[in-house]
Amino acid sequence: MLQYTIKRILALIPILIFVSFVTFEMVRLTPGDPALIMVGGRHTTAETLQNIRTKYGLDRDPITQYVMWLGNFFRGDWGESYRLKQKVSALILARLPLTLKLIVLSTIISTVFALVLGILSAMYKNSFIDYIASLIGLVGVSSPVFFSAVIGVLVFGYWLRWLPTFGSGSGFWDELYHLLLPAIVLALSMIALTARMTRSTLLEVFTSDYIEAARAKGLPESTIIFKHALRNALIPVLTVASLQMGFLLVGSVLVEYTMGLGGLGSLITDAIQGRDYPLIQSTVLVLVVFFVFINLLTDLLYAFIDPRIRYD
Amino acid sequence: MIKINVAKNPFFRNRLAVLSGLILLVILIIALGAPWIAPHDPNVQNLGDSLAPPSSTYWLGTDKLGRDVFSRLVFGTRPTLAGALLVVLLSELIGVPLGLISGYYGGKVDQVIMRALDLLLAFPALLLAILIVATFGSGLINAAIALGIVYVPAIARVVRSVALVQRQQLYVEAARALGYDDRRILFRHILPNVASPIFVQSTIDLAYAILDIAALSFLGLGIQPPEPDWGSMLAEGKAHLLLSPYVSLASGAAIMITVVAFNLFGDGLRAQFDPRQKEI
Repeated sequence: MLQYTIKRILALIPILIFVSFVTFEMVRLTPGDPALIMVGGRHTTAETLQNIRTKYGLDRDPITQYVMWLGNFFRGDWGESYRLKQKVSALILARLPLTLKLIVLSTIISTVFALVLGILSAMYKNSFIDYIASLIGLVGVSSPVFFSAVIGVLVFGYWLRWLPTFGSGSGFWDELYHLLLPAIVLALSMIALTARMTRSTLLEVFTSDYIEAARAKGLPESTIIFKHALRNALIPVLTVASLQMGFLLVGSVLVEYTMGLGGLGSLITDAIQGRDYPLIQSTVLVLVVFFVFINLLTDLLYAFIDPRIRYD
Repeated sequence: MIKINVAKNPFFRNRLAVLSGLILLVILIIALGAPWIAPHDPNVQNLGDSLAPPSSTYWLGTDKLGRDVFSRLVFGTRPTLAGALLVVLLSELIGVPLGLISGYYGGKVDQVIMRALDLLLAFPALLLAILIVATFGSGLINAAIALGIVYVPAIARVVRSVALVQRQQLYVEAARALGYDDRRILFRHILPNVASPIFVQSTIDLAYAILDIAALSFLGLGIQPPEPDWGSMLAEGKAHLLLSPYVSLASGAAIMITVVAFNLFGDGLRAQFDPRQKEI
């Protein structure tokens, strides 16, 4: 297991280099002179512009710039936002907690919902309940998150007035309350896969000998499901759920943009609209690192549970 | 798994698949016949009728500039479908040969191709697309190209896994014994056998492509105003959601119905082509 883990972590190095290089060079290809953007369109002399280019290394060749940036990145110097004139690392650190909370909350909500729906559909296979559950999953996965967000704002924010629809609140509980609607919206798209997984693994477990034995003993159905079947079905289900966390990262970009939340997602959309190079690079990289690490953890979890994978 | 419910489930699924196929057909007809179906010019502004509620003149009301929402919705099918189709075709154009080669040759070639595709998978799909579009400029074509690249690994993996099985089949050996070259075997003999999984994957990719295209337009990175498009309509409508929710609701519902139809259609196809699916 340790060997496998080391192997997998080493395999991440080329991926991260590739991702950071592509991000860096792509951002460099963007039309628009960053020096001009930094002065914010004010009238300036060519000399000032040249000074800015020298200061930020904008006049060097792309490869050198990348190496410079990478070196600085590891030293913790992620540069300064062109437009906000703040340290990129400080901006990201300030925005990160909200996105993480949103993603964790949303994962919890979607997993709980999916488990309930999955268990119900497995218990009442091919019944009305089963179809309704798969319909909910289908609608959730087919509705664009920004549309779910719009509906959520309309229904729960303005018509029913149950939940706040804007801003992120202050204090732990208030923040959680403010994040509830965005998290539900985000969770909707994730329910289908986990619910389907729960249903099919449960159905598979139901046919196994030890469940037959439990049935033969005359145990109540609820004991069979919650104490015997679910425990074995949970492993693949949790794997799927954790894998989905990676996709929630992308979803959070859209939800934050739609609902005016100040997390990493809206930081990225703002940065792209403002051509804020250092900010785009580091934010994309941070998101990708999270994405890659969540995937790695899922793989490790899987390998830990199922040893055959380690030797593949 | 012996207790298989064959009679009930596939029937239900297929009925849904047929229904969704019909819905897709209707959407296609709307896209092709947009100029004859739309009651108004989608781009004509009528500022006196700004944000009008649904009426007999404006079936779904008007937007902020007084343009007919229904007509814009009808014309909006075009960029959405065309964009999604372009995404899928592009990903197939690159992904199918890569998957075939990877699965057929195996070994080093396979490893190199799959590692390269893994690199692409390291990016969250939409994030890479946002980055590409932000770099090379907004617009439907750029958005579709960006997503097309992002979708390559999925289709390549499907094709590879089928090609892996097919290369050991007798007919491939026979073709080799006849002295056919690899290219002929790959594209004339194996490809037809990979067609149905490609078709299934494409249908499901279309559903995701519509969602992603809409997301890019919603962020203002897709098709540019004033051209009508579902994603950008949703974004416009969001600005005055409380005054008049019709613009957002109509365009969002249009996206959702189309994606549901593609998903159900894809599920039905998969159940047809992959007998294992029927068991669960």
